[in-house]
Amino acid sequence: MIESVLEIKNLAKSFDEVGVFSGLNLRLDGNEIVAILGPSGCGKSTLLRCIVGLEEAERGEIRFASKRREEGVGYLFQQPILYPHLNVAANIALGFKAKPSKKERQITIARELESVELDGFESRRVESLSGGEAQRIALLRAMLGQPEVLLLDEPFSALDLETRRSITVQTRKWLKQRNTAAIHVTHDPEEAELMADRVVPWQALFDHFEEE
Amino acid sequence: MPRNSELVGRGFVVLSYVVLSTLPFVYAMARLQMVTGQTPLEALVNFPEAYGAIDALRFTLLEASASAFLTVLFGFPIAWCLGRYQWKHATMLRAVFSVPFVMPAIVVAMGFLLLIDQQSLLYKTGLDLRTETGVIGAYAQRTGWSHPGHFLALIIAHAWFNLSLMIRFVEPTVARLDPAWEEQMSLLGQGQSTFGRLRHLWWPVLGPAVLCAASLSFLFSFTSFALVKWLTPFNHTLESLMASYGGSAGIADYRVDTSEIVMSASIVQFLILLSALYLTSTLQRRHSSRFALVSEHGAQASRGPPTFKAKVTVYAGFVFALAPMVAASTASFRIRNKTDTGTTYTWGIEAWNAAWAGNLSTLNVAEALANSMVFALGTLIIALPVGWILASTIHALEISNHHRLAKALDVATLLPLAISAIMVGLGVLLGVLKNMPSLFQWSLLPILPHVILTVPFVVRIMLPAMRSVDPKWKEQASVLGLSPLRTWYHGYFSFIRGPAVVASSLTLAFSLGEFGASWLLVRTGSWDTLSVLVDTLMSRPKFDPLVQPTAMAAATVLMLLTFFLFILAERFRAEGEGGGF
Repeated sequence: MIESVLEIKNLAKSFDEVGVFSGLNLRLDGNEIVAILGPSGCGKSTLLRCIVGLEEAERGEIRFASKRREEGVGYLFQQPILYPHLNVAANIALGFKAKPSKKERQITIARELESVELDGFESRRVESLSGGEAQRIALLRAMLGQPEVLLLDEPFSALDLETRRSITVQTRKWLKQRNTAAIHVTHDPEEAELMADRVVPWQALFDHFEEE
Repeated sequence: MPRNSELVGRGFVVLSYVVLSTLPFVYAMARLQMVTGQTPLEALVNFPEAYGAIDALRFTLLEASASAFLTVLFGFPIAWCLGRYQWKHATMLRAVFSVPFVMPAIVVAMGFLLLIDQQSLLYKTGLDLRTETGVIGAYAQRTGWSHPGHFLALIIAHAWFNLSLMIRFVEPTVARLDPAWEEQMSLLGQGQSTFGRLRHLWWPVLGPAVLCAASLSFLFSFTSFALVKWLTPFNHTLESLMASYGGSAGIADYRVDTSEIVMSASIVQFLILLSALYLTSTLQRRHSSRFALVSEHGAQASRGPPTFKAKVTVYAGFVFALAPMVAASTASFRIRNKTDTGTTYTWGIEAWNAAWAGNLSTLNVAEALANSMVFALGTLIIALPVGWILASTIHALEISNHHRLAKALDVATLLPLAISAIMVGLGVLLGVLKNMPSLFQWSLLPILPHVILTVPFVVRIMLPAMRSVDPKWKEQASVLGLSPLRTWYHGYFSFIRGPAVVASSLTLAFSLGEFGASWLLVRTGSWDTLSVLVDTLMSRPKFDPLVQPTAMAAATVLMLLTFFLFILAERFRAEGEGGGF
């Protein structure tokens, strides 16, 4: 049996006494990719922010297989956040958990860039990247810490249709190669189908949690 | 495309300003060279031998560096807390923290003198900075450092004065940096620790702003005059050294040594200030808008109301910012009574009556205020259009891809900041005495140095505003069939009206509070400005118990006027606008 890497039970969150969600349940098995499909403004991003610890849930439980949440989770924002005072290589290097030697750093970054077909991009300025390239760099950086779970907050929504399809397929392939579980939130059913092993409609998250 | 007549007009204004701003310095130099028989290079080499010069340089560098350090130490936590959280009265808090920068130095000096006075709270807590007894006295005795109390008072006063620089440069970036950047950093391997976030996010974002504010603090502390004159009377800075010898400098065959001191000191000062300005300008370019900025309200809302620590920091800063101003105005109502049993104090409005009646000075407060207003309005009438034309010329050069020329003109407009007020005053004085002595009797003469000293501020405020106006507004207005005037008004002027009001208010405030050049140039008592009047009153023997309170009453009038002008300017300042003073 595959052990679950993340379990959420009866989670509730509100802002200024306005409820966002309540009684939310979810379980993510090892290397499973789940897409949560819901309309804009339903609370999908807030859920991811609660999981990663950027927001505090009011009630409920979020349990990780790893001991420390910050070590176990990677996060990809809707807009890729690459720091303009650093070049591509230095942006990627921020993802290292421990500071590697200069040589190790160079080799790792070159190998990772090659894996997303961006070889030779090390010294490029981030302002010169296209949306798709920037998002791939951000993805690469998030994966560098080898998280158990990657959270994807509609990261491809700003891209054109063709790029979005290709990057979605590439990301899935990549996650599978690295045995990384992921939660992908989106409002696009096609993107959800392309990416996920399991598509969960937003409303289905509020069904009772099935105890083993 | 600008018309030929417009180009000629602009060229004339630019050329006139560049000549006008450099001429006093060049003229003073030429005159001093003639009197001393030294070339500028010889004067520079002979600097260490000039009487008191090395001591003055050492003291100036020490006090300016310590002041810049203290400004960062006091100002950064306030700027951080103010920018990070949602404050209920943010505009008022910002105004109070910013007002010290435009407060006349003479008022600040009076305020700090009162704060370290023997009647003050500070004295009663055992910290005697003025007569240097107790802890300070013991420290002076142990280290052999003469007057550490005065030095401490001076650098604290400078930090107070420059507090707003730190807040104006740092706070808007803290307030408007996209919170997602911080969140992203905290989720990355290298951003897990506080040190990691500091190194990879906060230092690159805020470092240039902090260093820029620190180098400007250094610059203003280096040229500070009134505070040095009153708070450290036992030490000379280069500026006060030049001021004290400036009166007899430049006169042929008379006290040539004073001309030598002034010449070499001014060259050394010019070189140091030019380096500091170059550093400031480089840092200002690096403190750019590369970083993702969002609405200040949005960013602050995500962090909520201030924490307890933030409240303590900001309110302590608030008290610090208000203390010298409150001390000065309170002292105007406090009258000393000397009796056989000792000295007592009573509260009353006698000093205010004396100030309005002019019992203790050539002029009364109303007349001095009228003089100050005449100088300030005269300055505004010239400085605003000149600064406007300079800024629009720089902008026009930038958008027509003449970047080098634009940069050269940009630096040229900053030059007066590298020439101290004393040197500007001295240059005007010497130039006028030599070429047009009759002009020396012209009462409006101080307007000339005031214009030279305020135009850089007008350019600093107007230029970013002009750069930010999107040309599409003007294009849209022009295709609507509006008249050229209405096109200009709706498509351009309405966007820079706010900064123009800010520039006007600050020009008025700077001119009202200007002391160094006015002190040198106002030679007839009937044209004393308010700041000169305060200095004159404070320089009188204090046998009459009304002398000091009367000076404080005059200082309070000047302070209230400046405060009012600044609050007016704040209402028109755009959200997040910080770098341009």
